[in-house]
Amino acid sequence: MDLNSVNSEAPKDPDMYFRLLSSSSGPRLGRLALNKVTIDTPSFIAPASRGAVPHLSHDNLRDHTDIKGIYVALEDFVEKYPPNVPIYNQAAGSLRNFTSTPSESLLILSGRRVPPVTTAASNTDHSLAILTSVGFRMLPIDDYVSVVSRLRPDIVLGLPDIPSNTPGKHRGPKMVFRTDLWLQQLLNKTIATADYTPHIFAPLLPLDFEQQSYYIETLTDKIDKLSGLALYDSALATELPEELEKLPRMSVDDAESPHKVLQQVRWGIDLFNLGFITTATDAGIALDFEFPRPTAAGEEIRPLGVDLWGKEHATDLGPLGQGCNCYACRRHHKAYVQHLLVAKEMTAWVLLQIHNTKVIDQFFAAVRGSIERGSFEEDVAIFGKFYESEMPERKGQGPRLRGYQFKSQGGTGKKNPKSFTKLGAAGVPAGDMREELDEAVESGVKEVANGLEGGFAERLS
Amino acid sequence: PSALKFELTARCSTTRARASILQLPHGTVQTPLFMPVATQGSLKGLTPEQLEATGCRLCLNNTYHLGLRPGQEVLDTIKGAHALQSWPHNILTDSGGFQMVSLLDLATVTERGVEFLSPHDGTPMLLTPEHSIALQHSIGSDIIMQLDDVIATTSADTERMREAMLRSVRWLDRCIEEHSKPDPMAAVEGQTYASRQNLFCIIQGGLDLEMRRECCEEMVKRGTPGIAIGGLSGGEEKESYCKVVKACTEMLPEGKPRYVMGVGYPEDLIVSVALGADMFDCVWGTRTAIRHPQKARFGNAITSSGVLNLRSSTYATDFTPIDPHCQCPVCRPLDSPAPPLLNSSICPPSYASEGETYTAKGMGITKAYIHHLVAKETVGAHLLTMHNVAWLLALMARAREAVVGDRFPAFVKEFFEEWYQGDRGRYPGWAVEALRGVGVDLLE
Ligand SMILES: [Zn+2]
Ligand SMILES: [Zn+2]
Repeated sequence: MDLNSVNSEAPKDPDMYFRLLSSSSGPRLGRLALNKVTIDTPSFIAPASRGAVPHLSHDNLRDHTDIKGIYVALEDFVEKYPPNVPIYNQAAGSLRNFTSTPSESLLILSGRRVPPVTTAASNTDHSLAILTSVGFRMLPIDDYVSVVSRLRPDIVLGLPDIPSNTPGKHRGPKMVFRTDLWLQQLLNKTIATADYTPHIFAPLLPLDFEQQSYYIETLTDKIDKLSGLALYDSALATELPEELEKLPRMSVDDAESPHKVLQQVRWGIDLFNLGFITTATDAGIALDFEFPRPTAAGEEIRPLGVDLWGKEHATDLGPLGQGCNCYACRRHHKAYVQHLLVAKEMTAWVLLQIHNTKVIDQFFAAVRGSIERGSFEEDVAIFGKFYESEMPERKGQGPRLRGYQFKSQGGTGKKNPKSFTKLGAAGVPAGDMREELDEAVESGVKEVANGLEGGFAERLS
Repeated sequence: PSALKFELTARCSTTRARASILQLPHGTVQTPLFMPVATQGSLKGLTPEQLEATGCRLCLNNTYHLGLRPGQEVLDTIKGAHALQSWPHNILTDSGGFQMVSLLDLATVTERGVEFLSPHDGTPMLLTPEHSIALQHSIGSDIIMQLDDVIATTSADTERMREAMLRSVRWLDRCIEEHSKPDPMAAVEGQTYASRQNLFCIIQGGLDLEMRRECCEEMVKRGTPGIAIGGLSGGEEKESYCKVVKACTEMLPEGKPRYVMGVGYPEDLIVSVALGADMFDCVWGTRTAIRHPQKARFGNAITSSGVLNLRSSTYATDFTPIDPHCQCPVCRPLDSPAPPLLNSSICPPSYASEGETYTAKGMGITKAYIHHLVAKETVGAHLLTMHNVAWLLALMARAREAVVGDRFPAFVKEFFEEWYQGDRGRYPGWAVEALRGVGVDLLE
């Protein structure tokens, strides 16, 4: 199986890697071309969980979405202690081989997820506190630096030192010091080879510009070795020195709504690591917005999405989003997704994720068109007036929580409460029938009881 | 009337294995055939396209579940389960009676049907043969099952067993009557439901072979287009299971499909095919792919050399496909062309149509990556489910080819050889015995 070739193409002309197609400040247009992927910016990438975009198996990712970049955290791969970390030792080579990521999507490696789960321990000068699926541990900065050449991500983000609490007066300088130190290690030790050219993004901290101005100044000296900036506070994009303007800017700021995305586009962000697609999907919400607004529609303020848990969708054979051409909308309807949600069938979230990704992809295409036409500011105002400012509230239950999601929600309560009581042993068959029963039981005897009147059997009296 | 055409294409000259082409309202399938269970209208996170990519053209839905959710009214409004799940191929549904009896302690079976008190408000409720059929009419499945009086085969109460068997025959008559009513959705006025849906009877009689024979005789007389052997896979000894299947297939007409309900473990499939059964359904292959909290058995991958539990740390650094011989999209190398169709008469997948973007191209997934995902990300379950279903479908396709080429006994031997990696000492006695009974000596 030759999967190695995917990463081997270095950009022929370094200037071709990222090209600004508009003014360098304010909302900007660009084109990032790396390996086999071309991304017109502003655009988005999707955060992964354990190397997979939640709900999207690789075929659906490749054939049904336009996700051109995937944000992967090393903390998802290192639960075992060295030297037994599978991904460090694999014979086949890269992160791409390990995750079998289709070549249509860039892999962007970072240390931690966005947003990261608060860790018990703090970072040190030489290590990053992380959360693995088997608990908290420290990731030596050396490990991160040394695996890059082996994992060969298309883009690697320098590690930021971000404490879990709001940093005090003295913490700020230490954050800058460590982030600078760790970036230097990454830059010095990651060397281009015949078949791998690293593309390193320097992290910018969620601090005032003044607090990290020295560090940002030093980036201008390293510009030849840098391929981009990863902004943990997108507002910094407006204050960057001119020398850095040519670098692509990725927001790791977790923009939580299209309105926030637009604001960050205005600041000059090029790439968004967008978590809210999956958040909406998990909530059972089909995103439903267009930029700047649908042509034929009334004037009342519209929600940004439709909660498909609602019973009113049970017989609605319309698409998840009006005029949407995604697989879920072409081939399925609201009634099916509503049914699957209520039945807690995983396919519900698969279809929602495909649809929601498409909505976002179209949104960014429209944003680029708007910038090109020079009507961005007006369009943002139209969008802001037409749509509600917040994402719809989560009402229904999400998918069963697993691994990182489970921990990231913190708290001590049971996340997956048992929705059933144990059956009596009498008359319960064994083997496959028993499993069949388990499934039915899992879906909730109580709900079943409530649903009996729904037509499964007849009422006698 | 019947809405299927069953054409026997080959018979094994040694065993009772058969190969057939079965034409159903939503396309043709070939037997022997494995049918995956999409309980509530979807299969463990797969899209209908992904299910098609495994080679599936006939899957199960459960009447009990669809009857509760979305319910008959919604099913009528949106015109059935095919429309609900956008599945262009065939669907088979059970009667719903089994779940009813098993789930509700208070259920009692009377001549009228399955009676129980609503756990919600204590109202007496009733599931009759007529209502079960009416529900399956609303679902619109291509194959529907009669309501039967099913009790555990392991029950020692012969009298109750006989009562259940005879009642199942009487209920079959009521089901047939309900099914012979004019179909309001029929293309030609006056046509009955039987012209678009196929009612199968279910042979009962526990482990008592005489009782099974009596049931076969009575039910065969009723002339349903297909016949199921029910009440098995409930924990009986495998020896008894094989005897029952054999006793039934001996009596059943050659020209009708035979469906053994609830069977799907690979060895069971192979032996049952040898005994003359054609169709199987089982949740094992898909259940086992994902989490199963009490039993901790998720992460199981079916391969030609047995079942591998990919949660085992052995696989953390195994960068080979789940099964190197498997042709499913999960196992095929990244971006390799879509898997070939399982057989010549199968309908092309819907994604082959113009305007569709799904390619079913290979994904190049490794055991190491499944190990990394399993039980932590649902994508791991999707991938493993897809592989397991494809594997079972392919196993039956291979069995069919062997029957057609009249080399089925050799195929059976190869299967066991590979499954137990040459260790004949591990061959299960019941399988050796049952196969000997149809002329194949595994240990020869
Ligand atoms: Zn859509
Ligand atoms: Zn496979």
